[in-house]
Order: sequence, then structure tokens, then C-alpha cells
Amino acid sequence: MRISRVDTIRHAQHQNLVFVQLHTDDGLVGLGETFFGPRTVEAFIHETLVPALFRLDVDPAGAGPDFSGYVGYSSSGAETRANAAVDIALWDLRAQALGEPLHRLLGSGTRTALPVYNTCAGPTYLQVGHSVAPANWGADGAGRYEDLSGFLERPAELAAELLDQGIGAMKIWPFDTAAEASQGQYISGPDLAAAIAPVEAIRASVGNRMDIMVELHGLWNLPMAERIAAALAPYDLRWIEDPVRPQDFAAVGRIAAASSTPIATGETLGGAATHRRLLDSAAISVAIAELAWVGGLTEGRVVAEQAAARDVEVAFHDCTGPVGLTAATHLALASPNATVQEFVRAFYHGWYADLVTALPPIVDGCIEPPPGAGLGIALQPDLATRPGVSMRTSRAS
Amino acid sequence: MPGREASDVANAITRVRTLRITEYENMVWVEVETADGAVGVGEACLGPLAIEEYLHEVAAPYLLGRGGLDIERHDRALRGYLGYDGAGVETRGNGAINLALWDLFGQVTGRPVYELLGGRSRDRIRAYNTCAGYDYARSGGHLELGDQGVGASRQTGPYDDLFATFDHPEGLAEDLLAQGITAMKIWPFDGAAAATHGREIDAASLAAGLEPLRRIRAAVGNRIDVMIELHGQWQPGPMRTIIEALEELGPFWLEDPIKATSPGDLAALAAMTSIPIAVSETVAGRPRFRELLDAGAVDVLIFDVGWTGGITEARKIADLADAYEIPVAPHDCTGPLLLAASAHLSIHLPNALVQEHVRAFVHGWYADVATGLPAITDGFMDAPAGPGLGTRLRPDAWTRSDATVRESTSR
Repeated sequence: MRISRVDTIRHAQHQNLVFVQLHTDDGLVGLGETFFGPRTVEAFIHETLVPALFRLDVDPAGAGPDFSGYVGYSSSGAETRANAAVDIALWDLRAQALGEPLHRLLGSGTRTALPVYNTCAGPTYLQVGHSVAPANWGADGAGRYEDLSGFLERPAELAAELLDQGIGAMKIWPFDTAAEASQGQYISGPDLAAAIAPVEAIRASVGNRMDIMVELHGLWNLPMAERIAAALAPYDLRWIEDPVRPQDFAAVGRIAAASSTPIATGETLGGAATHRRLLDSAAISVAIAELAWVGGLTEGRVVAEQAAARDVEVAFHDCTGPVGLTAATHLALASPNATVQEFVRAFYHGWYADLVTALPPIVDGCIEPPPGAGLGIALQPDLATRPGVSMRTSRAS
Repeated sequence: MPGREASDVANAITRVRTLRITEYENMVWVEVETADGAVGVGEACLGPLAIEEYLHEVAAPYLLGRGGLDIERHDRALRGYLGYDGAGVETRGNGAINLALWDLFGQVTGRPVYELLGGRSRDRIRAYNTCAGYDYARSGGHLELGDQGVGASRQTGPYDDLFATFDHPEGLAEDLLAQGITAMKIWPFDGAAAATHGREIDAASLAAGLEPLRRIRAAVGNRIDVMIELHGQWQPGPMRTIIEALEELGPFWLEDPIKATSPGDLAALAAMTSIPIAVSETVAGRPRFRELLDAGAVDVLIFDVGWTGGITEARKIADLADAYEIPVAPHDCTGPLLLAASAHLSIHLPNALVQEHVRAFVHGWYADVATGLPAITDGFMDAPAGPGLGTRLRPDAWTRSDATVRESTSR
């Protein structure tokens, strides 16, 4: 199976997203995606990966190519993100060629669905701007499921609403504003209390029926992260995520040792080898991988297996795009140590559905892969011709 | 902007300009200009189209309007949510920006970068020659780099050192010594690595890999230091075989014997031999170097000033290494401005051991695109003269017929 054409597709309203389509000479189209720096990723794909893809003979039953380069192999930089998008598309192609749903190639069979947790972002969260900072939250209070202002302003109401939808876990990030104010160097007592208030309110209203994850986005130095973890200890959180940036594994190890709340980390890491060293250095409880950043399904599966071998849970990130969520759902089903799948209901019921032909169904708070071979989703046929959408194509000569 | 000093307004960045030249297809240059008209220039190597895009998509929108002298602030701010932990496009692009900002600082103050860093630790630094030919790694991009052990050279001249490594290593060593150069780097095992993906080495390939160093030792004895570069292409098993065979020949160091992703495996290799292990130009940032240093995997720390994110980060990495009593040896084999930045660091850093250069480049394409290259005399390199990096891109580089210039501007 030869690749005859490579498309990259960007959308003006979703400025951090880029899709990749791999067309084969026998008419299949594999779909991939990544997030952040899409113009840079697009340039790398057409500059470096396309020539290699056109030389490739894709074996549906075989392993994918190794596109890790001489530099940039060990981070979630543009090369790894581009490789990830292409890797997901190649898995999609291979599964389509075999006529099998992707999760079956990845080794599913023990279960058919997985509970979701809602990441409490709003519909326009991170849709523009190259940053996860509060200034770029896009929380204007408008649109269906504006859950970001929801967790800040009416957390108890939001928790009750999610429980009504069958969703028993939610993730919030009430500490980020304080982090930005001090560049993560210091949090005062009043700021600490203010950030904990949403957690307190949820516990006070719905008790322990709601699992709560607190996301810290790697914004804090170690002593402030320890201070926050200590303050959160009484609230029986499901996990604290990225308390420090997971670049110094010893620092992650210290916060993991100091915190009675489970520590989850890793979405910003690239490469399974990096995750392996983190797992060996720090007693974290949950390895988080974003398939579009870690290097695709190939690397993500190794992360899951490495975590499983150490009795550590794996959880696949969403909050990026519909292809990433779908790929994550396939892999999560095939990963016995995955217990919950992230999603953003504001995206899922909003713009995700506008861009692709199908999404993984969510029934009673549980997500399952869409039916069909491969990923089971494709871009909407008219997407490339919509206003604000740009497509760049390379064709094999 | 309100509340700012006059100097902040004058030094505000008003334009970011990038340059690619078809003839040098792995390179991209960036120029940062302030309201006052001062200009700093930097450079990046590998993946130039992607780096150019990154510079205009992410870096320039951040930099425009901000003070050109706040190097430390920009170094922190440009480490994004992703890609902070390796030598990827973002890090290499940030490296080019960081070089340009240090150069700008020098242009504004009229001082050379090594003085702005805190002054000299030495007057000049011993230079070793990396035995590449004129066109080595000039094309091919970052997926193919490992295969370029023996490429065809388009340009010819007296310094076709890659061919000489295999054809007449005695003459190569003697020629270098005659120029005063007392250290040379060769990579005689890359062909064998490519043949087996580094999984095994047979006796004939082992002997062939040892041959250049054997002949150098027979011809010039111990008068020249020889570094062996392995390009991270081997697995630990065959590498142990290679190390055992190399020991009697006394190489100066072994560079990147395996990929730097397994500090424990590297440390095991370092422990089995008295040959110093040098790693790695492909590693970026203090956390990853600290991991290697803590594991005991490093005897000589190699950084690439561009691939690790710039002068600011390189200096911090060198300081970190110094705390472990480990010397640093800055990488070259990339571009002229990056070599200039490394020369400034090698003059400044107390723990600089030796500075890489490629004489075929310094006397070849580096001189074609840049002026004021670091002088190398009697085997020692000086910092370039003049303010900033000293080394300047030739003005006509921007107007060549094969140049692609893009700019982001606040005006």
C-alpha cells in the first residue's frame, strides 16, 4: 500500500489544530491530528515527513515507520507532534485495510466502554493563541457548557448537572490565576483558600459522589506545589495533575512522595522513553499521555504498557480535537490500566461534531469507539471548502 | 508603551526577519531589529522550513514590541507548554532567537558576547577538527543525518577530511599536526552501524572501524588526540565490543556511543571503560543533562548551543556540569554564527575543555556566507573580534537569488 497524497488541514476558528490525511493509491484515507503550533507542524510534515511517506510501503499487518530524527526525538516538540499525527493516520489506514476497528488491532477485548470525566473547559477554551494561560481561556460565559466559568462561579451547580448526565468525574484548574500572578513562585494563604473554594463547594453539595481532579498545568515550583497538595489533602481528590512541570523527574518524585493525593502527570512529555524514566524516578499514580503529543498510538501504547508493568494507571488526555479523542478511546479500551477517559463536553457537543462525520458515542457517562473500520471517523466531506479552512496538499510524483 | 524608560522604547523589537538560502538547505537565519535600528542575528540548523514557520507563528508575535535586552525573560517565556524538553523545532528556533538577542545586546553596548557573559576564563581555546568534507550534512535533513558517514562531496579542496579519514588517515593526522591542530574527530563505525541498525558488529567490520585510528597511532603516535563519534546509532551490546577493542588505542573520548535516552545504559558503558564518554549534542536543557550527570553517564558534556536553546541555556548547562566537575566541549558542524556563539562560550566558561570546528567548513561555506569567523592559529581558536557575536552574515546573503526572506513586523 503506497501513499499518494498528504493533506494538512487547518481551521481559522480552531487555531491550534491541524489534521493530516494520508491518501493511498487504492483510495483509502487515513486521518490524524495534532494540537499547538499547527503552522510549524504543517511545515515540518511537508518539509521532512512527506518525502519519507512517499517512499514508504505500508504493510497493514506490520509496524509503522520510525520517524524519530537526529534531534527533537525526546520531547513534545513540533517533530514529535507531526510524527504523532502521521502515526495516528497510519494506524487508521492499516486498520481500514484490514477491515477492523482500530481498538481490535491494539488488543481490546476485555470491555466495550469506559467511564468519562469532564474537563471543565468552555466551548472556546484554547481555540486561539499559543498558551494555556488564563488570559487565553476564552471563558466569555457564552455558549453551551461554559464549564470554565462554571467551576469558578457555580461549582456545586456544575457538579450536580454533570451527575445528572451520568458523569461522575470532573477536572478543574482553580489555581492557575494565582500561578500566573507570581510566575508560579508563591501562593498566599488567601489565594490558596480562594482556589480551594470550588473544591469545597463541590464536596459540600454532592459529597463523595463526584470524583474531582485538580489540574495545576505544571505552573508551580516545588514548595508551592507541596503547599497546594497539603491544602488539598482533606478533599479526597481522584488526582492532582502536573503539580510541577515534569521535566525534573526528581522534583516529581518529591511531590509524589509528599502528597497523600495521587499524582498524575505526563501529558506534555514526548516519547515513551521519557515516560519510562519518569516512571522509574517518581512514584506517580497515573501516567497521562496525549497521543498527539507523545508521538501517536505507537508511543502511547508503550506508555500504557510501561505504566501497567509498574501497576500504574494510564489516562489519555483530551481537550485537543476529535481525532485525538477517538484514537484515545480506541487505545484506552485496549489498555487494562486505563480506568477513565478525559473529554470536554463543551467540545464534544460543540465544535468536535461539526468537523467530523462521527464521534465515539457516550452513553450513561461511558465512552465507546465509533463503529466501523479504523478510527471510525472521517473529516466532514465539505470541511476543506468551508470558509476559514486551509488545506495544503503534497502529491507523489 | 506607557511607564517605560526611553531605553525600553529604543530597544523595543520592531521586526523579526528570517532568511533561508537554497544552497544551504539545513540552515535558517533570523534577524531581530529594534526601534533604534540595532540588529542582532542568529542562526538555526536542521528543519529550516519548520523553524522559519515557528519563528513567525509563535516567537515573533511574542517578541514584537518587547524589550530587546530582556534576554532572560524571553528565554523563559518562549519555553512553551510543549517541546520544552528536547532539541525540537521550538527549542532550535528559540536558540536562533537567543543568539540574535545576545548579538543585539553586543551591538547596543559595543561589547563582545564573552564580555557580556562575565569575561574571559582564557585567551583562546584548543580547537579540534571534525573530519568532515566540504559538503558534509549540508543537505538531507534530520531523518537522514545518521547515514551521512560517507557522502559524495561536491566541493573539493585540500580539506576533504572525510575521505582522508578512510583513504589516508596518516596523512590527515600529519597535515593537522602541521597546522598545529592536536585533536581530531572521526566516525569510522557509522557504516557498520547503518548495515545492522547498530544491533551487531562482526570481526571484519570491527577491524575496519579500528583501522583509521590504528594507522594514525602508527604514523604519529600519541601526538594527536582522536575523538571517536558513534552518532548514537549502536545498541549497548555491540558497543561494549567496540569499546573493548578501542581501549588499547587510547581515543580521547567516545561520543554518543548509544542514544542518550537511557542514562543507566550509558552509565554502565562509562563504568566499564577508562575512555571518557562524551554526550550529547542531541540533548537539550538542564533537566535532561542533570539526569545524565546524576546517573554518572557523562565524562565530557557536549552541548550544541543552538539545539539546546541558545547561549543562555548553554551557559546554565555548563555551570551545572561544573558543579559535577565535568568539562564541556561545545559542538560545531552546524553554521558560522553558531560556531561564533560557541567560541564566545568556550572563552568564557571556566570548564570549557576544547572547541569543535570543521576546517572544511571554516575555510569553505562558512566563509562564503559570513565574515569575522573565529580565527584559528596554531590549533587554538580566538573569540571573534568586534561587538556581539563578532561574526557577521554577509549583507548580500539577504539579496541572493536563492534567498527566501520573510518578516514579521510591528509597524
